[in-house]
Amino acid sequence: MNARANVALVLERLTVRYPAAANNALEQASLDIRSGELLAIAGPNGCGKTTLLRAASGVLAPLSGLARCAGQTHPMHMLPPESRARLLAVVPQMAGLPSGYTVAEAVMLGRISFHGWFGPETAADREAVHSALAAVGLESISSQPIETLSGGTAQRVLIARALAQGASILLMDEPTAHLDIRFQIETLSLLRRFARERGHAVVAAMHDLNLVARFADRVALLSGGRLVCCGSPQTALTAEILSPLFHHPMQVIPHPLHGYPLILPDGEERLKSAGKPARARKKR
Amino acid sequence: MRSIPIAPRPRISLSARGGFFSRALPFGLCLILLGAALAASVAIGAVAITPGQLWSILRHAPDSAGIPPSLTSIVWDLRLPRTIFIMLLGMALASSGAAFQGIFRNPLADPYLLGIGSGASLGVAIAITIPGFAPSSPVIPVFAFLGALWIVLMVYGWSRPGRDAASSTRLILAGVAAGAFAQSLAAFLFYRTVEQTQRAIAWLMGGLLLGGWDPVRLSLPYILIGIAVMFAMGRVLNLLQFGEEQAEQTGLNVQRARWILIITASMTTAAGVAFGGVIGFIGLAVPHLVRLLWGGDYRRLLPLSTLLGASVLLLADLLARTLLAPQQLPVGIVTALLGAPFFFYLLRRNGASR
Repeated sequence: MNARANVALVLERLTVRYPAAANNALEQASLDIRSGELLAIAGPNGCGKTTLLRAASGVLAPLSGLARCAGQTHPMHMLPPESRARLLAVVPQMAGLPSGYTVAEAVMLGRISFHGWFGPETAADREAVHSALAAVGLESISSQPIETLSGGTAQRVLIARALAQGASILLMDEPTAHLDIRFQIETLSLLRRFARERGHAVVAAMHDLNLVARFADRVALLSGGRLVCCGSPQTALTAEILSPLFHHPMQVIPHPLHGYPLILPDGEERLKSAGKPARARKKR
Repeated sequence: MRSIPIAPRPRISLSARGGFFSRALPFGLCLILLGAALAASVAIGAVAITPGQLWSILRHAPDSAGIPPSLTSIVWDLRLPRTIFIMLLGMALASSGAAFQGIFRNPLADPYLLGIGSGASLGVAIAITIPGFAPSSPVIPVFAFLGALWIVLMVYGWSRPGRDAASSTRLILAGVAAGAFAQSLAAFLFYRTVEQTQRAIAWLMGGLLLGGWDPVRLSLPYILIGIAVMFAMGRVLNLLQFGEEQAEQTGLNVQRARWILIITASMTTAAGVAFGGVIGFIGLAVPHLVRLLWGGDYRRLLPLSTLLGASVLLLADLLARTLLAPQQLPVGIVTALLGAPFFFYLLRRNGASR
């Protein structure tokens, strides 16, 4: 397999420390991100998933190491924001959207690196917005105010804005948080299609290991800011790796129909038998 | 992908975002209101002037209509310069208030509450205490700008712990403290050095420092340039509303944009304050009113706030001149009387939503 040829973004021993923090939030993380793949980043809370995405996008200057796009001489954090935005787009974790803009206006903001602060919106900009809206299935509501949208639809507006940037690398911070099951499946199918059909490199920080197992081509597991392992869901998502990583016993079985791993965290009954009293019992 | 059914828009707003007419309507309304406020401001006063007389005087044809020369002089030397300056001041305060709310992503930001007006007045007080600088000197707006910039940097530095929007409480607390400090220092300087203390103190509360055309002449360039720059930054302000990190990842040089906006809005405020004194709540209330009526898109919000701010301040000034006639109140007293309740309303609403 010619893996080296289609590397889109390289992280080289990326180390990040926040001001006034005692430890590095990210420690010597090295990772190749390839075109055409959906790479999931998983790990317990506070393991550095979001930090890794922020450092890869260039908004955080690393303490040492670097993130660099294929074909670029400068690392991401040295590039001006306008250049970064055309190489790499970020879909943030869903929070409330500001009010006062239509769906199309919000997506058009993704074109600011093309028309600048003052320039007029060109036909190319409108075309990019239109095709981004079409890609996420929002053309019909392009003149809706964004503050009236449901969580899943608002998430897709942000994905469309990222697509409108024209970047071939997409970083997603928990794209399925706050979404119900149907929207989770729809969003991840969409992301995988972008990787397969358009050759985008898609990186998604995710919490739900079963969604990772089902949709990711590869998964990178983080713990305490360190990259523990990286590989296909079949090789990386095993009980031997996951149980110590999350400090919680888990069973992993193959899906009865499709064969991908199913991760089943052990419940209260198992914990009790291991000698830890359940909290509910303690109260009584 | 299947299309998702979307419920019809629940909130009815005056802005249908569709056709040209509905987009132009708010501008038309604001322009008509401004025209009426301008006419009323010139016509109403100790000596009433009829619209017919006003029209003749403005057309430089008073003799034919048999209008006494004193009336002509009242219009051209007193009423008109004051009216135009008040209009400029209202524009400056409302547009920079809207810009500050956008920069700090904070609905309570306002040149007065952030202490920027007081900073500008301190700059003016310092300039006037330097022997040889008359209140009509062209360096006055420059000193006002430096004072305003000093306060805004201090307030921003104190209230900004992280990368996220400066927190409301810290921002307002820092602004009020810095404003009170600067204003007291300015008052102290006035008591120490200026003979016409009463006039200077009245100015601090929002009275005019100078009569005649000097205030217009000296502040016009700064205010017009400042407003033009802020109008041009509408798209940038829109992107900033999504948060600084998102704006940067979408391709905006956030640092540069923020500094240009802070400096421009401070300059615009300072040029008005230098001659009109510290006037509160216009910069807070007017952009809010526009946002409630016509939405939060800064490409529209800024021009509409500018027009409406001019009208509102002209009407407040009219009240200030007529309420206790023949005495004139500083207009800042009127805007504070009307604006403070509005501020409490916003505070309550904000508290409820968090």
